[in-house]
Amino acid sequence: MARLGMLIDLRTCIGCHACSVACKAEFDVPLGNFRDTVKYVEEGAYPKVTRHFIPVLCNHCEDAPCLSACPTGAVVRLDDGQVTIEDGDCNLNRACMAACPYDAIYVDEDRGAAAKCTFCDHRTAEGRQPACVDACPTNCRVFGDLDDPESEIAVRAAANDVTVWKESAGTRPKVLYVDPKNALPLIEEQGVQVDTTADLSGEPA
Amino acid sequence: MTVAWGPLLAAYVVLVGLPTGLTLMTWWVGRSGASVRLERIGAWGALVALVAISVLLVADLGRPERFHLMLVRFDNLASPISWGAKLIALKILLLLLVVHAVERRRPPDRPLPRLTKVVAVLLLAVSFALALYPAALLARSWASPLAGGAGVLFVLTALLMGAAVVVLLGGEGRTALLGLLAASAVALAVEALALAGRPGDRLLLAELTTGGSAPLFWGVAVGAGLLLPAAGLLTLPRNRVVTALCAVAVLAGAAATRYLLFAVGS
Amino acid sequence: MSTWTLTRRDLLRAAAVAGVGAAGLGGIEVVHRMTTEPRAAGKTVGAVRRVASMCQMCTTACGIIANVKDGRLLTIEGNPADPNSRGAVCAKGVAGPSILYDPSRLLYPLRRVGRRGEGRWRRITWDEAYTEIADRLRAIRESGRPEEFAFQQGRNRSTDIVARFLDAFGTPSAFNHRALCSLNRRAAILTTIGDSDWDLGDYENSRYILNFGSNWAEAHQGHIPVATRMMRARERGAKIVTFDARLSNTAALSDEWYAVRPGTDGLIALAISNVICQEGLWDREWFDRWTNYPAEKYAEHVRAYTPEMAQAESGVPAEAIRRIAREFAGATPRCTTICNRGSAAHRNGFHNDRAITVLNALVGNMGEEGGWCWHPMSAWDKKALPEPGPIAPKPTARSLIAEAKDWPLANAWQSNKMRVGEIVYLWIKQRRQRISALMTYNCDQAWAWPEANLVREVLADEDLVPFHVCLDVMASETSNLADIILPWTTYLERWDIDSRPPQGLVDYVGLRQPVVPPLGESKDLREIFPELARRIGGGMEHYFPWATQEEYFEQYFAPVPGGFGHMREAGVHVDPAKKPNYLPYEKELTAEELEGTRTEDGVIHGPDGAIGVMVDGTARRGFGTPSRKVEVHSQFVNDRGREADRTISPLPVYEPIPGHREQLAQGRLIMISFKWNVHNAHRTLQSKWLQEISHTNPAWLNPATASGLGLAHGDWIEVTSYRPIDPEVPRGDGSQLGSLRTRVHLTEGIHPQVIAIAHNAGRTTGGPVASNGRDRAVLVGHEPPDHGRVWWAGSLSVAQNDILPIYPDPVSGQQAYHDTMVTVRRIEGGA
Repeated sequence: MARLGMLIDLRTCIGCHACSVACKAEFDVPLGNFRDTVKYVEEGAYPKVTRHFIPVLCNHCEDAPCLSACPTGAVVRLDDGQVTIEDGDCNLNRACMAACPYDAIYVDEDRGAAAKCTFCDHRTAEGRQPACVDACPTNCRVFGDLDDPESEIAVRAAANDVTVWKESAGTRPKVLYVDPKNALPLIEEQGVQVDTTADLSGEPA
Repeated sequence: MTVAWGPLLAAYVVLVGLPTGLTLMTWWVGRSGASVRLERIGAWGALVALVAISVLLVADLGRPERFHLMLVRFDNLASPISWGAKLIALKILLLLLVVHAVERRRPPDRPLPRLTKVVAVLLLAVSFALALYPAALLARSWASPLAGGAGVLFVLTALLMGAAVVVLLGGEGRTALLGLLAASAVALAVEALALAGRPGDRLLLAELTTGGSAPLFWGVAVGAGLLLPAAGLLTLPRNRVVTALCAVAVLAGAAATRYLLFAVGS
Repeated sequence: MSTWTLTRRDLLRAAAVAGVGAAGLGGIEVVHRMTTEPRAAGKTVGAVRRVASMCQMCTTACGIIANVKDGRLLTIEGNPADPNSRGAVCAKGVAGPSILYDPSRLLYPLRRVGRRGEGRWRRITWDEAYTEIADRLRAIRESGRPEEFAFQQGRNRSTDIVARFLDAFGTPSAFNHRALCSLNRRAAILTTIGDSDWDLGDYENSRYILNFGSNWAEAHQGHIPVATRMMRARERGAKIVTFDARLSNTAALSDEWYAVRPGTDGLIALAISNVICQEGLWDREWFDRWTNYPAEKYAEHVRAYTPEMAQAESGVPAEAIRRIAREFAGATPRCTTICNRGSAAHRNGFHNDRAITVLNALVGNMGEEGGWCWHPMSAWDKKALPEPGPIAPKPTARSLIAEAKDWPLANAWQSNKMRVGEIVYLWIKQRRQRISALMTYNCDQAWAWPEANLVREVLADEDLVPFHVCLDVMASETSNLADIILPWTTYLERWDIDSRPPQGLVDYVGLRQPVVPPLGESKDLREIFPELARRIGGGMEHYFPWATQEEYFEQYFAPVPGGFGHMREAGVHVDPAKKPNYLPYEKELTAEELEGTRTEDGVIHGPDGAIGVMVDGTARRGFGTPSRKVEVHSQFVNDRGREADRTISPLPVYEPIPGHREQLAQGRLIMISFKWNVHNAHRTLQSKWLQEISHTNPAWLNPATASGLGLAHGDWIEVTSYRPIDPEVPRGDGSQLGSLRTRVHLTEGIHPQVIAIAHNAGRTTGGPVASNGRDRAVLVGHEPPDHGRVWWAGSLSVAQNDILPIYPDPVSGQQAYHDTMVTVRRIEGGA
């Protein structure tokens, strides 16, 4: 039994969204719903200003609020620690969504169930990488067994200062970030789902 | 952040106080000699309200045809909703029994006092659990950290709602109502103190007291729900109209408090 | 005390009720189990075919592997065998299925009914389409004026077949978009080193990268191959400094970003050069040996460009310029520049890029590992892989528009077809060249061209363009103005031989092949052109002798070990014997090469021109310039200029954009455009997945500028543009051009004198995904698109190009995209 996790090195994320689209393609995620995306955050004042790129997804928390919130047992933890949702057991009471501090779960109208990132358990079972990891052009994402000291993820986690998103939520995420510019606190109030109401309207008022 | 629960759930959280309070208050008022009328109304009222609320709860599901999963699955007893659904089912069953017993025209042959007692106690316990349960439900949601200390408020508002209905139906609930109002005021103050302690919570408190929720909080929850009825009941204790109006105000105030507990965090 | 009691019978009844209830629920549970398992998506059962091919979502053409099951494309991933992309792809690449299965795709040929542009169509057969087009073209060809058939291409990765058809037809009127893209950069590099028109810095091995307005993280022609190498360099501690008017993603990824006033990049490079010369940080020995201009004299030339002057013009602090000069020179030879449209797409872009290129010569990093490098081949090795014959002769007819002689450097180099795309429709309107038939291929000039409204006006005029065929994957602003629309295959349904300038400095060749059969009745040029040639006849058909496309490529790839079969499997081929193109100029000429040559002023001439240069008594290959050295001083461009009555400085200089200083003083702003990483041209707007990420384009403004104009975030504004004040530019009278209405996006990441508008928006056709719900048309014979889930319907989406003046750099013809002056004023409510 492994303890699967992901490490995202923000130093080499170029914000390209290959991960976001690969995830869409892998699961045909409906428009308006997101399992994985990249947050863009500007910080600073002209001319000392930068933009951070922060890929976000379900953290497959060690202490997963969604798991304990689900009244029907649809949210389950797989042997290697991934937290997934069994479509057939979900009656869409949305307790998991209300419980997740990362807003990582959405109502999938096509599947008629709550849905979220699965750490691509269908791919990893075949020895492949999750779709987002495979798609990342700069290899800023590393996936593997956090308990195996030989694994690349464990080596890189040990070699760098790693942190997690919303540590104060106390869920012990298994998505780790190398974040030397301290970007994660800037998205403390955000979740994985994209705010689809934030656009400026093109209709004259 | 997505708001997972909408108006139906809000209505549920508000209304679930009614059957709970009704059962508990009927029992409380009836301790020293229950009246058939009060018990009948209490049992029927709670049953009807609970069934109606169950319908709300099922309708809120994205897959209502799978509502039963909450009742038949025991894999996750850490889930408040799992408990809540089962408690509601159990209470409906118990209320059916009581209604059946109350409605029986002739005296029962070979009554079983112990069984009666067990059912009564069970009913009270389940009702009390249902009174507290919204606090557990909301405590699990990132959207409503208010709920952390709100168990007492949920119980008190449920009791207030029950007491108000009892009073409206002509029962003797005035003293109970005044006591509950005082207790609620204290509980609200304690909750406010607790919220003022942490930065994130302070924002919520500000939203409640000076933000968009302020009119509902001060006007309905505190003003109509606590101050007005307390003043009315204390100054004009014998006036039936005033008492009835106070009861209605209490109902509105309790409902507002419960709604705010649900909504202010999101 | 309760008034009620219970009996045993009550209890039994209750138990019965509970039991029946539980059994009922259990029953539902069992049925539910049976009907809902299994339905999990993403689980792949059975055989998935992995087809190697090449991407064409943008111009970078990365190697891809398509995962296909039961004839349906599931997903796309990178092909690790591709030496450029090395298995990496971007969001656009991964989004392939959304383009292939775009519900708004064109699937059947359409013939216009009613007026042109009215939007009424009739579905026709391919036979009808072929007949009408062939009849029209045959008449033109037989009239003896083949140049009246014009071919407008956008992104063309099928250059072999396009050239073959046009040459066989005999028309020179092949219009490309080079001047809208990279002309100045290519001209500057060709002028300076001659070997290539494309720099390929060895970024991965570099320690210091100076980036002048290139946005490799989002849009550069080498996009992912460059970005991945930059990130590897970064991991090894390389420093990246970016000059850009806007905080692009590249700027954000750099160690330092300097907001520059548009059009001053060259001056910054000259000031850096000045510091390097003044402080003796140069590689003087290399410069004197390998350039055609003495270092001492170049130092003198750049002495006027002080860091203080650069600061005053560009806004970059003089101290930063000094420090960067020291750091850059200190890292040599493992340092390099990179530049692109930020420096080149200006009225002075040719000189900007010249100054930047020469900066490398100054520190002697040219051709070095980790330095500023290039490769003589911009595609595959065409000697090793010649085009299958018979090859049609080049046309003898002339095209005034294609030659564009007003711009001396546009077509100054034989090997480069650098057409001045932005003047094509103006010149058609001015009737400088008669067009009897126009074929548009993978291009949306009616939306993408500067003064796109002028393009639309010309295309709508049946007098100016009597016959217009548009070949594209989906409906566009341009196809709306066609007589016949031909449904084109996506890049996932067709064949190509392709490769890009090799970022690894070793050339390679790739194959694009259909990963699924074409949808509907869509067809590729490779099927259309041979058929048209047969129907036009008159000898054209002889140039298309193969029976199938496979047969053609079998022949083409025959020289590759394993041939076509190997290419179909691997998708790409690299000759393992070839070495990276480091220090190619140092290569000593062999006795065999020197046979029959003569040496004149140190330059060694063979029978077909110069082949080398004597350096310190040794015959070396040198550079591909007339002097066989780095031409810091170019007599060639000076002469070309004189022929066209234009003064082109032989040395890199800074020429301020005419009118900028005065207009900036009046409070006008410079309007620039930019590209988001998930978009390329009009076609990426068809992807629901890419549009979901980026679909809106409010105008970027610095908060300081906005507050000066009384503007807040989200406010509606009217942006009014002006033509250049520039006698060397057509209609350069400074008059008002046009206005657009948009809304304000406040950001600290932009120069205060600049307003930036993303160009990937503003389409009104192509279906709901592309047009933010505006296009509600249903094309005859096609399925109505689903508007339901396009959550960005109604979001702001504004076409910028209508107010972008046609503004060719007088030297080269490069469109000066980033020099437009505008005024901005607040308007109420946008109505």
